[in-house]
Amino acid sequence: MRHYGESLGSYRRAFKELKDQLPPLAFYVYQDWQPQQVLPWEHIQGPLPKTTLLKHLAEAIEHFPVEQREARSPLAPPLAAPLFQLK
Amino acid sequence: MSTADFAAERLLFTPAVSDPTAVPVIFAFPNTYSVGITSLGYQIVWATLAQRHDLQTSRLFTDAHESLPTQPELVGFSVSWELDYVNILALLEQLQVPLLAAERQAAQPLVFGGGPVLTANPEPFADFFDVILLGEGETLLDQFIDAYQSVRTADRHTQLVRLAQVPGVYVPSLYAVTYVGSDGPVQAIQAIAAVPAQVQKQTYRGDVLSASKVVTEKAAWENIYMVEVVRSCPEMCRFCLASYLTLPFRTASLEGSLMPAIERGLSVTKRLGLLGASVTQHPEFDALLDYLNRPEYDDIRLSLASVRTGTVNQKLAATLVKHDTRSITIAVESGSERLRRIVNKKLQNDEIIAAAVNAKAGGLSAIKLYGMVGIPGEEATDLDETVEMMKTLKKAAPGLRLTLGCSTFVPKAHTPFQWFGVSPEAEKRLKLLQKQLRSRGIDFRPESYSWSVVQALILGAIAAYLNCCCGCVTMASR
Ligand code: SF4
Repeated sequence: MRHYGESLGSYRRAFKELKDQLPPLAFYVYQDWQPQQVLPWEHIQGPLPKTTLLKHLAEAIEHFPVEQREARSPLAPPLAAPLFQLK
Repeated sequence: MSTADFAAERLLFTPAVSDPTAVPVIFAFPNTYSVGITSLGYQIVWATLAQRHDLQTSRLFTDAHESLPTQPELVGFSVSWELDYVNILALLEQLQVPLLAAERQAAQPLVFGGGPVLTANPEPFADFFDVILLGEGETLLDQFIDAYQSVRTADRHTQLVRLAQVPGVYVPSLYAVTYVGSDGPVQAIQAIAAVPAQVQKQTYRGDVLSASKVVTEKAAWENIYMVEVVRSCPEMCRFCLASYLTLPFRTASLEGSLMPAIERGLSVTKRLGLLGASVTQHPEFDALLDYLNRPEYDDIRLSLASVRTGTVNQKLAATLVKHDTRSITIAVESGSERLRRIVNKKLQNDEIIAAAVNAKAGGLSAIKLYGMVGIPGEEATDLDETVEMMKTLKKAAPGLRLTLGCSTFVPKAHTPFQWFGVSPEAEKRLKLLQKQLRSRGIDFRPESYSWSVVQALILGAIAAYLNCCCGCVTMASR
């Protein structure tokens, strides 16, 4: 990893260089997550418990077109083994 | 703007006279004065700080500032837009405060931040803040300052651990985030000091909601006085941050909160903005309209945030027209009822038509609809239904100016759709709608797709972004 100074200019440079890495990032933008995935705000208490959010999610998915239900449902069992072990 | 423009402000509170030992504080908005002073959240926090004897608070914007202390102990930011973070870094640099929390020394200020962006998902900003205030300021802010006063002379670590005991205060450096591999998602987040494993938030339960503390001609909406009518929204559309992040739905008491606030505001200005995710859902909204329709308020100008489609009746339209507003905004999300069931928007197409008909009958000249593409579960045929809906509307309310604003679905933290990604089809679908609608003479205003993707990167469910972007920034400090 390159060493950057701490001025604003160097941040701008850093972000600019990151542009080259956009393809992998873009991948994450389009990706659906499994409910077991640790989200970056997992340690922040939200207004509703996760179980309630998942219930609301399941209600939404009921209205999906049949062929999308499995493919896009974070609630469907993952097809392959998970890439990583969850805590 | 010049600093002298602060003189144009009319304050609706009395700032305290600071004690000789007061803590020097800079409270900043990372955008121009005009934008910042139009943020009700910024106003409220500033007024709370300025009313404390034990603080000496100066304001800072990108283009204006009050006289700043040379050795501030606290530097705060109110963040309401993701992309403003570039300005946060610029202001820190201007103040000669190290950008990374980890690099700040004992003699340097604690940098704190708050606002909806940070409350939803603080992680992308975590490296820059010593302290992040989550949720509602009502009780949190005073508790935060009180806690700081109790450890003012302690070492930095002791200060941070003490502050982190206040529910709603999040100290990022006391939590360790680990990732899967070098560019994988988050693996675990763990507290690494004697602090709560999960940061709690405080919920304000009072029935007095906020209202402007300052009115100025320099605001983005000139001389506007803002009143918060409701907080959160009971509808709970599955993608909606404005609803889910701030639940439960609360309403300001008409007699105890709204009427006195409006009266106070209208003694200094003629322009009133009613704020809230869903103002017409207030149980006494009709009585509020009656109150605003009193003859002594005939010359006020009234602005509303977007309203729930089913509540657009002739009385509302006529009240707006009488008070100088010509158009109304409703969020319909889509012309497809199936998609609306997916997002839990309890709305029928005939209600949308009724809203347009009522708007026109009440004398409004324009209606703006908000929609979204890329909703999870969307199919190409759903777009046809949106086009169909717009065509029907055009026929049903001829002469009414129709606009469809359209954004791309972006997942938001703490909503049921936080697990969904952005649709790769969305950009194509925006273009398709544009072609179909503009050829029929309907005004179509798409929100930039790439901006939506950037938004998703910064705010959304993008665990890996942190690892990558902030990862290399963090490397710099080692
Ligand atoms: S009605 Fe509007 S504010 Fe309320 S939940 Fe739905 S999108 Fe959000």
